[in-house]
Amino acid sequence: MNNLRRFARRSALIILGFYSFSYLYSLHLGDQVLLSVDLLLDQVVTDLLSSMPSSRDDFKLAATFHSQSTLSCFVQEGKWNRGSNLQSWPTFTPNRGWLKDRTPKLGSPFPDPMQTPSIEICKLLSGQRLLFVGPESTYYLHTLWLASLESYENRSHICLGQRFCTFHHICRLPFSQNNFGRDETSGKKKKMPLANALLATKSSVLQFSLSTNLHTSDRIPYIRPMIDQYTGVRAQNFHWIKKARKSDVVVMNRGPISAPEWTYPTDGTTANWTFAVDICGEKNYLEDHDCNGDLEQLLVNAALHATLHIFLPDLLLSLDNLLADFELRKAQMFWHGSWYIQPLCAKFNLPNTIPLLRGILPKSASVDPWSFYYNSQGESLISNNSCLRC
Amino acid sequence: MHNRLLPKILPHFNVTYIPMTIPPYPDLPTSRFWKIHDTISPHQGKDCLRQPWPTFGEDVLEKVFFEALSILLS
Repeated sequence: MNNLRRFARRSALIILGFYSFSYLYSLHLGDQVLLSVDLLLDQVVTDLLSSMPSSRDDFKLAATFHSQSTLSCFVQEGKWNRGSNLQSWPTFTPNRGWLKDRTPKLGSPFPDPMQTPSIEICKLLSGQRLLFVGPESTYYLHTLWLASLESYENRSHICLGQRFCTFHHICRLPFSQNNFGRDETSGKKKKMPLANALLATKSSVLQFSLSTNLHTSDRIPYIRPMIDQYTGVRAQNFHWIKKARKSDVVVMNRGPISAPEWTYPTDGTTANWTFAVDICGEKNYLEDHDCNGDLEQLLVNAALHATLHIFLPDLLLSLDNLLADFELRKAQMFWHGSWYIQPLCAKFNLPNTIPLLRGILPKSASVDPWSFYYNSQGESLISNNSCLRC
Repeated sequence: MHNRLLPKILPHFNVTYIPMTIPPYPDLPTSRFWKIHDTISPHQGKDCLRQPWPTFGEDVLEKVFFEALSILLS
């Protein structure tokens, strides 16, 4: 009996080993690099979580992981439809089947999926205050929302800009047809509606705060310019934590770290990637590949360095501060992921002297090196992502 | 990298991750690309990240982000 068990175990190990070897062998060189990156990141997460005290309810944690995974499939498994109209862009439909089949609790709140989600969401935000905090991509989401609401409410929701956004009283009943935006442009100073008024009108307040690094300290005045030494770009961080304390819902993001400003060609043709070569000389995370490799490999190594030595330590510091802030405990907090820079856009009008590198996602066309650096920080080999796999 | 790290880390800090990895745009025949391209205002600058160009941004991001957020809030 023992011999039989030993034989079964050995066979299972041989099959597993063969499967892993065939999987690795079937990958292209670039995929092997990305796979090594993913394994390294998994180890970072394991080390990090093992050093953290377990303070959260396991059931709640499992439910959050499940929601994230379901939403990932909802997006990943969506389909582009080329359509028959030759003069219109293809449209994208997320895979709503994942919401129905796998999570009854997460069933779509929309009676009609064709309804505009940015309008329908108002039903869930009655009387609440929302804060969007993050870089320009977060500002773009806030702007998209305002544009949708403008056409629905027949009311102007002009924003003074990402540095001067005060607040928007949103999700109100549509204004009468002939008075477009009258209350917004009457010249009176707008006052933030009180909580009672929001509840009475079933409306909400939206605020945006610009922050490229999500630092929570408000000791450094915004008017003192802070140049990021790694990128040579000004870090912008408005004091957002007080707004967050007064909010019911906080949506945040810190995007991938941009390539240093000196990488951009000054003569319009020749890019300077010496920073990636220097980083590889100092620390080569992909030990199986030397630093004389191609630009893709150097940029993946530089992206790892930016993620593990700047993004992650900074983020953990901010998250620790948020978790310790008692006034923030009532807020529901979300992080919107970064979106993929689409090759169709990235490649358009590029000078011929700029090399094209592979796309990170499966079936993706190639992109310019700056988009590659950005995308490799934001995305991962999803087919191998155990946390977000469908 | 973020897409791999954050879904595992953020929930431990009471933050829920909303995935926004929209699959790559499909390849278009060149003739069709230019036909559609001609419909874009020449004043619209190319900004693939903050105002995803061509018209990828508005429709897709709105569907994905607001529908996902609604589901989490409900």
